Amino acid sequence: MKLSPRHTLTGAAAVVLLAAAAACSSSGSSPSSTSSSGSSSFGVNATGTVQFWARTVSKTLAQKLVSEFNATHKNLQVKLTLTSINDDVTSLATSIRAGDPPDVVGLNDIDVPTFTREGAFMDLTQYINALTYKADLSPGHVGLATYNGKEYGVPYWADLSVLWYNKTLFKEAGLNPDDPPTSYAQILSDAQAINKLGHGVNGFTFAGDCQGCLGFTVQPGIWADGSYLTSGNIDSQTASITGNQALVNALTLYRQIWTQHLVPDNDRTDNGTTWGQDFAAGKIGIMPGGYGQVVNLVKPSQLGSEFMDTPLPGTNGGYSTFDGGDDFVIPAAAKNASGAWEFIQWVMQTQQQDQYPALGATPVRTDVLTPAFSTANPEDAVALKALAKGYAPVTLVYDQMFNQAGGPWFQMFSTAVYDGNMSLALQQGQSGLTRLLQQAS
Amino acid sequence: MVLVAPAVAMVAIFVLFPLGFAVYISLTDWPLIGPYHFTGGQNYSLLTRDPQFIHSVLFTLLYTAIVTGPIFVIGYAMAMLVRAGRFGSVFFRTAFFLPFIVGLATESFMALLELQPDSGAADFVLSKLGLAHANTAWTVSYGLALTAICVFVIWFAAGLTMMLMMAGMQGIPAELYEAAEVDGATWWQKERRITLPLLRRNIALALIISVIGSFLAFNQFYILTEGGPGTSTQPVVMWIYEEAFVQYHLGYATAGAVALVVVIGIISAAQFYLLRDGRDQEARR
Amino acid sequence: MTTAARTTRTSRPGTWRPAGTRAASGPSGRPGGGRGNLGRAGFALYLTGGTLAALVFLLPLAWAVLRSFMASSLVTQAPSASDFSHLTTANYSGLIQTNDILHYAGNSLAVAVGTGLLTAVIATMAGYGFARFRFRGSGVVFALVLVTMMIPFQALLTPLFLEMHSLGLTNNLAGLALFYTTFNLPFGVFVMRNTFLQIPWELSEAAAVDGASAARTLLSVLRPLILPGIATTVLYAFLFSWTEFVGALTFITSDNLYTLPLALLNMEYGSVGQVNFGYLEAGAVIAMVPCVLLYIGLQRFYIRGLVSGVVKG
Repeated sequence: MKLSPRHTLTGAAAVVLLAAAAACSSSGSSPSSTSSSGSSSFGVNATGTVQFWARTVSKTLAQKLVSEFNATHKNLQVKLTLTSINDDVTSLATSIRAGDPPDVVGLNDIDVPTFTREGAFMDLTQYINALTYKADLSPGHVGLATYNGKEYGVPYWADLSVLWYNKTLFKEAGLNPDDPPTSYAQILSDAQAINKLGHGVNGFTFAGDCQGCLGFTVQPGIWADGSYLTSGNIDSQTASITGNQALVNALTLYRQIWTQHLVPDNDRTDNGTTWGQDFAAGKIGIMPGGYGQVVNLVKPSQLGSEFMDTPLPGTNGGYSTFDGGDDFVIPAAAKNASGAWEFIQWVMQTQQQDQYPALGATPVRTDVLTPAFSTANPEDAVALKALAKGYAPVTLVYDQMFNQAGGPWFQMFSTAVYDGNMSLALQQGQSGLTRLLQQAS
Repeated sequence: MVLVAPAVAMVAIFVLFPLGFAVYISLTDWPLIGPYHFTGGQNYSLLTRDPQFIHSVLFTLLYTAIVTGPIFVIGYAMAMLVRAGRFGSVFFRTAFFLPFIVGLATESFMALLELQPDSGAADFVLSKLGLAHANTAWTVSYGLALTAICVFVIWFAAGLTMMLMMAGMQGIPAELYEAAEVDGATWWQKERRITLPLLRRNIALALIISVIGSFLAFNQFYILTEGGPGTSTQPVVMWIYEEAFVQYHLGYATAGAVALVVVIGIISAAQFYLLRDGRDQEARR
Repeated sequence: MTTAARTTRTSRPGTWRPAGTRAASGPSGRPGGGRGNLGRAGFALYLTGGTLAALVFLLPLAWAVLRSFMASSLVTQAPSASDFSHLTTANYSGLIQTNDILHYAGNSLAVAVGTGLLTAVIATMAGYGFARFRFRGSGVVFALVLVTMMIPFQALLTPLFLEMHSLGLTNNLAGLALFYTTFNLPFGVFVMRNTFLQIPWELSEAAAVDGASAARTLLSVLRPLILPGIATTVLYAFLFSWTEFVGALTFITSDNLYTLPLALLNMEYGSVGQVNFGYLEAGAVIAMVPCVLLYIGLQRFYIRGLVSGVVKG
């Protein structure tokens, strides 16, 4: 009455091998289309259902888009599934292995390179080239979806980092609320001025135990200075930590902020779970953070009057942003790729992009930044402006570097900012990152 | 035989088969996505030379050694308090068991909130009592974090031991105690001579569950310290999690998991043997 | 053999009373246990000690309940006296009305009840089988069942998902309940086996002499004696399924089938990993309610279970 383990194991192994083989041999294969017209109009008048997986962090946006699309497209319906926190990559990979992937996925953009390298997604280059607004798509997002000259995805929504500040506290400290900091030195002096106000107020705040949050907000300053933490293309990267002056400047700024007690004590233990709540409560002068992050924490009436943002500056000027958010990708074995592309194109239309700010997201096309848009959404306009100079690291080791327990990024930050040992920090960062890159190749 | 068949069938389908599959995976370099290759025992030999893996194993052993005793002793004491069904015992029982009911994951988040410097209740209360500074950062220092987590886990788990002991204690006939009282025995003698020997099986169950639970500890560390600072408070299951779901080295991670299962199996077998009850033989037909 | 064991086997009929129940001629005539066999001073000590201990255990949770009535923005600030004057039910209305938490609680309830019942039935059968009968390889089989307890199932997720997917058991609550039942079987079997082993031999012998078949023996004669064990098994299985997260995360992909822990997590987490602690505390309180009710409801099996005096002759 017992199952024979060996027999079923062989069977299961065969299934897995087949799925794996299918997954890796399908790059460049032509998509199946269920378009009833039968012609080669990919992404036009498709019919049937489209299985769309989106991350829960984009829930409000995804639900709104899907219900609007379904209301206006009688023959093509999108079925939305929200993937849970921390699980999106694994569930996508497992579904691809099981041979049953969705048709379109809103995948965290920094995770896209892991998949494109294995040919898991459909090559969309020809369809992207046909878009009139191709040049206006967020360069950071597009860069992450490009591999060996081919493009495997387009931007879905942008989750950008900016420098938020509290206009009320600026006025109180005698600073000009319409003149936010544009350099590290100004950040420091403005924070010092506000810190002097006392009564539970601090000049600055950061999530001191949250490596991902710090990666999101500290790196743009380095990029604004024209420097990066890795060099080379994805298959043969090396670490550029030692000798990286822009990195040293950024870490020094945080060191100074920390030693001068310009942040609340409990920043040290904030692993992201309480990030931004003190800013939203009006007790912080300056906070590098996400656009969507703060929009979701405060009342709409407070935006622009009490809280305002500005692009994250470099040492002496310039600006950049972390191109977070998601890319649209179509798994190679998707059953309704044509329907998926039709949905994707619809989402990228200006009409839909204009709805993004209210839903806590930033649009992915720079040509959406019209004067009308700026007037209606001044805070998001700041972010969108920075999008053109945005970047996100194209590397296979992003998670291991920035999100893993004991990863080199946080070790480096910790040693430099909390222990004050810059040279050791750089050494640790360089050797840690080098080791990761070697393991990945 | 037919009585045990459903249980065995379910275990075979949902546990043993995937376990076998997992053993197979541990012999490969199974990646997140893409093809894999058979590598034999390579993962296992790598484990023995992996300092992070070894550290996480040692840390887990240390943690288990610290919490097992208190969980048992406190649980036993609570069971002694509530077993008699006196006035108030249902209230006490519920109070002691409530932490277990609420669940470790939720309580870990609550603890995360209360262990923050300055804004958490822990520092607030301790500083008023003069026992700690108001800005003690519990979750980012090895010693403090370990202390806090151990206290937290004992609070959580003692109630389960209490329930297991209590169920067994209520199966002991009253006349045994009455006879001992007639002989003039003190409560400690009654406990040692009557209760403890008769509870051997229940004690075995409570200890084995406690030890296995400590070996498999994950939630409280993941939520409170994320294994930090660095990886100093990273237990084995969290090492497995990081290797599998952040590094995407599924084959290697599974090898670590299989090794863990073997270790737990050996330790549990040892506990079974040491705590075996001679009377088991009589109950058989 | 210890003295205790010998005494067990020769206990006089009709006087089987578990330790801790009120002596027949106890000093207190109050129902519900009274003071039992403690003197006045002993009872006072018991009450004081017990209350202090209970407070230590309850205080963190009581504080969490209080927090659940504070606005989330206040919850992460330093505690101050003014917090108590701004209590609000915003967290609860947010969870129940805006986020429809009761729907997910319903999913969890269905799974947890199913798991509890199924585990009880299968574990009781298996516990009885292991306790009363010895068959070839029973030791090995018992060990295999126990192995389940020892596995970190983070490691099994990928193979298990692929297997469940091919069996069509992913993304449905019944499959989840089967999965949970399996992982609760070791505990249940262990507890039920212990329970059956603890029952004096004469009871089933006596029933067998009366001509009862094995099944009837089990049901009518032994039932009152094994109820505490069954109650423990059901409670543990229910709590396990009610609070389990990783398995639900892996196997359930449609959001309308989410169980409570999954749903709560999604409600509580912000886009950059912030946690809405107000929601978390309120969610914990809501989640606690069925569990506490079940626990209190099962308490009667612990007191009454063994007071039946069924041994004759």
